Amino acid sequence: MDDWIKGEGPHSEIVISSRVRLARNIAGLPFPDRLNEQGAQRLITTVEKAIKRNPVLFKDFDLNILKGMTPLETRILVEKHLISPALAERHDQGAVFISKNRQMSIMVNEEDHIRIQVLLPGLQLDNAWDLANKIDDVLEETIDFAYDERYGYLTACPTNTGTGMRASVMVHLPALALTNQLKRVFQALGQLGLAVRGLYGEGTDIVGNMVQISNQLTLGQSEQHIIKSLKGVTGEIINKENQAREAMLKNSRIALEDKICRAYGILTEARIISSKEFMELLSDVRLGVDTGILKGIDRAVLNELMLESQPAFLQSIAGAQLNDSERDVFRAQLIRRKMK
Amino acid sequence: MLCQKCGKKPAVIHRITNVGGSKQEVHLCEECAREEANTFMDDAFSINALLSSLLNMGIDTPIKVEKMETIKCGACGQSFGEFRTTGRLGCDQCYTTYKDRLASLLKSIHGNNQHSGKIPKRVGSSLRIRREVDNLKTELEKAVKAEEYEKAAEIRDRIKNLTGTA
Repeated sequence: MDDWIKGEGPHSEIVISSRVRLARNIAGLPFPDRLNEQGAQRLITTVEKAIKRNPVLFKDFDLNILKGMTPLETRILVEKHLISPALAERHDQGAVFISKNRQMSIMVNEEDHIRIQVLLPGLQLDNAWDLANKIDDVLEETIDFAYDERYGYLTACPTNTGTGMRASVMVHLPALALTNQLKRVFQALGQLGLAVRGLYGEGTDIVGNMVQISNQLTLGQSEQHIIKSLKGVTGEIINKENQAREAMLKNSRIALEDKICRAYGILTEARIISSKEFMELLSDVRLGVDTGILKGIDRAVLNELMLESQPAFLQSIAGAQLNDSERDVFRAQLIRRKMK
Repeated sequence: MLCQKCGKKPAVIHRITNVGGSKQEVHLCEECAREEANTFMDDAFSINALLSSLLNMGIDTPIKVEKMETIKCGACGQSFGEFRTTGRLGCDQCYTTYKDRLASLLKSIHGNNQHSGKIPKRVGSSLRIRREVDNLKTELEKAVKAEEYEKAAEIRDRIKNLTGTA
């Protein structure tokens, strides 16, 4: 089981996971968009060699070449947050090295040549940066990265130039949503130069009160500074969400219990359920578990369901291709089986 | 007249544009015109389009844009026009090729255009020394102003040592 699914990290009642991603390119080599197939293949070999030189990484990382995988298998890697949707689209040239504990991955031939990603459960931004930085140190022993004194690490898109770092936290904010405070929180985050996105990053909607918060700026601030301010903001959001939860428990407990227990009732009895409805009800049930209103449900089961109810994962469990309405029926079955 | 795109329905929307002196006419049926408008709308909100609009800031005459469009990076062959449409540079050399334009673009994206994060070890030693020397020079000035001559001498020696090794 992937570590974030266990739901055991620091502050995991609100912070689902922390992620750090570093974008790197090789000096003198065209960026992946302008790289031909042989060039892309050579790049995979270069990264493989760099990993092999380090005994620790060599033992820990396994190479997955996207070309040898079915679209469904690739999609599952996206749903597990092990690769980005952008890498999945580069089926012909993309590859990814994944660590045994599935906390770390090194994507090759994404928008940039190399993207190092570390995903840890709960609020662990410092540790995530530390690990990503160490992988970067190992790679730069053999690979000459495109770097400029003034602009730092050079990336395909100028929005990543500098540190090439995107740090993010996935937070669950049901009480702020129920008390209509989310909009204000998002506005404040925007003013602080932080971006707000949905469960699968750029271009995805916010469903089930799951919000990804990340730094937008990469040039002019050090990595430590970016991590520190995101950590500070996340701490503030945790406080606000906790205050809202306490206020609801104090002022409208019965209404809150009603909402949570109804959600539990529907989730465990429904025969047809869409992905969106599931995510919304799951948010209520998760709040129930976190506040102690619902007892005897493991948070890991909820995280597992969140992953397994995604389209590709669902079909791999079913062992068959399912259309939208078949998926909704199978999803309901799966939920009943897991939650009852 | 039939629609130029689908060739089936009668064209009801007629658009005449004048790009750099060459006149272009487009005739579309209602459906195709709507489709085109929708894709245009999608484009308008993409990150690339936003980047392009940042790039266009401060340029008034279309001639300048045209000239810039055709400049190609000597290393990867990507033109500036391609960068404008995709929002992605072709290689690390593009940063040198389009130096002036990127300096202001990076500044408008990040509010800053001087990296102050990680330095790779390989390029690091000399760069790190330079940063350290810069810091020491500021300290030296402060020490002289405060008439702390002993401290100033000490700092001066440290700078000498560092520049000697660089």
